[in-house]
Amino acid sequence: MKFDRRYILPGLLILLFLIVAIFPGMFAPYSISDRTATYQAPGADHLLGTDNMGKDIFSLLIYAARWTLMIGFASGLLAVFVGTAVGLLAGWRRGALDEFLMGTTDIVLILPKIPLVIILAAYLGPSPWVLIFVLGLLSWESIARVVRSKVIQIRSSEYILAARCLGFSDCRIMFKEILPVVFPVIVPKFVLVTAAAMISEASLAFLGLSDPQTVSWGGMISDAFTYSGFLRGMWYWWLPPALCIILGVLAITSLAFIHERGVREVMQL
Amino acid sequence: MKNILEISDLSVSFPGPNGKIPAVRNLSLSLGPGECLAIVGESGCGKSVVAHAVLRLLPPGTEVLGRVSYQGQDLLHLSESEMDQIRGQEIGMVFQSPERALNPVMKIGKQLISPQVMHGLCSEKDAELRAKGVLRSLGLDADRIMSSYPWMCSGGMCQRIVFAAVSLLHPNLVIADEPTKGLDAANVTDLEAMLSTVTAGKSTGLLLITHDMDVASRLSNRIAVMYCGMIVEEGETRSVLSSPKHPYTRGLLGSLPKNGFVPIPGISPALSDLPNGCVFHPRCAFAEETCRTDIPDLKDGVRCRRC
Repeated sequence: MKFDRRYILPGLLILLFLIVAIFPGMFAPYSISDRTATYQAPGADHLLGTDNMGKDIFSLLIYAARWTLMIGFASGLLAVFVGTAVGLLAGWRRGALDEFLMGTTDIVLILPKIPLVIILAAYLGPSPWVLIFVLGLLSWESIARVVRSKVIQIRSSEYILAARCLGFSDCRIMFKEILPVVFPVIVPKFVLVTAAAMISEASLAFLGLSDPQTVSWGGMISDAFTYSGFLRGMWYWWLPPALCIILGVLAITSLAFIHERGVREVMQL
Repeated sequence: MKNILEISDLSVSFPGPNGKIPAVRNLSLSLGPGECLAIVGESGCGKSVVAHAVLRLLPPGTEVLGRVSYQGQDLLHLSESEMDQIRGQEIGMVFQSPERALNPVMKIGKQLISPQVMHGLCSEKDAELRAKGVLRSLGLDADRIMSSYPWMCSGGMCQRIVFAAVSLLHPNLVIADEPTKGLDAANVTDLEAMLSTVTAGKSTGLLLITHDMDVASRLSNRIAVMYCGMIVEEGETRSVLSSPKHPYTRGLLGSLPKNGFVPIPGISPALSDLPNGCVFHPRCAFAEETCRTDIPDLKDGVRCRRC
């Protein structure tokens, strides 16, 4: 199949973010525990100046990529795992199990997400793992619905009947025959959930509900807001993390849309 | 010789809004090794339902009564995991739409290798060699086909690949459900040649389900004519086709282009609203008073017929 050039720009951007997140020490000039004079303007020593604690903002920006991306991707993976399992089971088994699982999905669907995430994050305490857990477990419902619809469409296909005629068990048919066909539908959902989780993380961090020990882009904007970065006109404190969130989300959603369009073109829809 | 398949008194009913819909009624058939039995009839007469009942592929809620005996074991009473052992390795099935019978996102090589490995016939390496060998014997470029996806192949190629997938497992019984539907004349000839190899070894039986009387006449030893879920006539293919005894069989043969294209008057009744007595009597030119009240028995003998 021909490689789609539209993947290059968002793909490179995500790759850059991932490399920075995995090896922050290679790019950050200072450690996040290093301190110097507070509220310094950008200069040769500190590309983006220093914050209220005297930490190098550029280094913080690099180290923050780790948690922001981690929370986004881990929440996306958790949501995909739960949503795919629920959708596969409901669509393949049908009957009472389908009704129960779809009833549960409907309940999750109507829950007001952000207020619930705020309450849960506040109640369970500030931790990136809690955030991953809460965001992941509240974002699977749309994946479950899409996967279930696709499974219902596929289960009556002749090749599934042919697979049964070759002696494949239900379990094998679900994972080897149906899942690969459903996969192109799951991929854009995964990246969209990941992007939404990154935004949610930033929102929660801005509201002060993230772990103060972990550095994230949302947390940096929150710190800039709380510790007079906005009042002092220190745009180099809050603008770079905001741009990183915007670029990250844009790159991820672009990948999803390009992939979806590519699948449509191949399927001639 | 002992029969491979014996179907006794098989009745299949689907749930409907106004009660059960009888798709197959009191059907009995048998098939020996090396034999080809063709079930013929017009669309909706229940031919495919018989095949699906044998392999237990009918949807939940379907009522299946009677006995389907495969080499002495009643398939209707086996567990699902026991049926998984029967399907493929003991009884194979060739479908009517070969392009749709292959997984569109899986390479053909994998689709031919995995059933062999799953049934424990051989290792993955041997399975690949066997698959390539069968594809070559069917006149295909094995290396290219193994790394292709189904949508990269033509209908005729897909039909051969489906046949290869079935024959690689060496089943004792092959069910071919409308295998020639939608194929052009050249591919029909190829397929007939492939299907004739099934019974050539004298150990495998072929249950051919078709509405193509020409294909049935060329491939089968015996023929069973179905109408509205019932067998109306059964016997040796040559005998049934040369001197049909049941009015429906005569009508079916008369409606072929080579026999004058004379249609059978009327239409088949809905299965949910079958007439009393002989199901064919509203369309039969020879119907008598008793035909309207009594369901004729299938008269036994070399030529069974329900008239």
